[in-house]
Amino acid sequence: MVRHREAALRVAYALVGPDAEDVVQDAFVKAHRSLDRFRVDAPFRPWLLRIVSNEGSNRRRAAGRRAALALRVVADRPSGDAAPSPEEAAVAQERREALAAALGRLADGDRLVLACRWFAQLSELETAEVLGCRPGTVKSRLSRATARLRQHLPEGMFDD
Amino acid sequence: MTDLELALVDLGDHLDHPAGDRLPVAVAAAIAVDPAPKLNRTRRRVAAAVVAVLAVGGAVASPAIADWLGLRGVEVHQEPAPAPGRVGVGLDLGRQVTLADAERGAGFDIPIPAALGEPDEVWVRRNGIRVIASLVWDDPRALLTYIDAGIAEEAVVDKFSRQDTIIEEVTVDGEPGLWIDGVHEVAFSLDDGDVLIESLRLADRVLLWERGPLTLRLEADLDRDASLRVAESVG
Repeated sequence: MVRHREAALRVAYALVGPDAEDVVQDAFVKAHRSLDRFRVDAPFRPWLLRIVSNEGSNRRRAAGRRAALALRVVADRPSGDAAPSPEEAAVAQERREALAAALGRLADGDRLVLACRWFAQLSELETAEVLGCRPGTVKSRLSRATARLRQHLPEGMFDD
Repeated sequence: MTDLELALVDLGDHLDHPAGDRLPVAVAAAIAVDPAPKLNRTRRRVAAAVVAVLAVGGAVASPAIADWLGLRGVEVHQEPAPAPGRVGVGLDLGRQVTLADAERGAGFDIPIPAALGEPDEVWVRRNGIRVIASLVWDDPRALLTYIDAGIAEEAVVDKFSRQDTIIEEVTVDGEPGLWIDGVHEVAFSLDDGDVLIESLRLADRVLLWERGPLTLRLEADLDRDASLRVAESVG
């Protein structure tokens, strides 16, 4: 399970890159100050991530950033018998880097929906909470974002 | 899931995002910091005690805060209702003991405030490795807590809370202290790195000050000046 802090950092990183920690810090502080507006029966994480996403969007807008976002990836640390061979690890890393680069070229909204769904591993319903839209809309936004992501990937990569 | 979706999940696990190690401290400090100029440097150092004064209360807020701040092992207590009979019952003060037992258990002398006289009850409780001693009086209703650590120098002090919360720098026997009025919880950052977050049990006002190696906390049905008189009478 991805913990709140980790989920927040992942979503923030997808939105603003290296400024993620500042965004999460500001978001947590704002969330803390808004706890009285948090409904007891509502799921906590989407509520928190919505604040993270607002904070990230504001920051990106304020900085006037339009250029592609350079998202960095870390390599697997080899562990145990199941560790991939160096060749396999290199290929996996190359694919991650290609994916990160493609993601960085997407619009903020596309990155946000993909990050919520796959990086933070929210359900479509929870993602809808973060985005402030209907669950059905999440499906179509995911689908469009994924299609655009594919356009930025090397041909043949992740062809299902 | 498609290969691309699996790859995105895998990418999420391999993002080189900031580790966020400083978040718990940074968030706690940011929550605590009041940008208002009324906080001067002395007071920040002094006080140090309070990383955050959390006036949020309630069941929703507390576990969430501890969770996302990563304050593992910190107990956030709910405000219990005052119980009839023994004053300390229901205040989550641990077990009732004699003063001598409390001093033995805590490992330090427990000086009594002459202004209040002998306490009606003495309690000790354990918080992690720390033993916290509390004296309770029925009239005026007062709770004096002794913690065997100083207040963290580097901690930033301030309020997080209602707009009407008052935090005022005070002096107790020449030592700096803090008078806080209008809160439900206080978080102490201690000089040994421990953080205590505690609900106020009797009142929404508290006087915090250092006395030698100890941090003392007085909650009472007393105004600021009367609380200060009690604090200065600790013998």
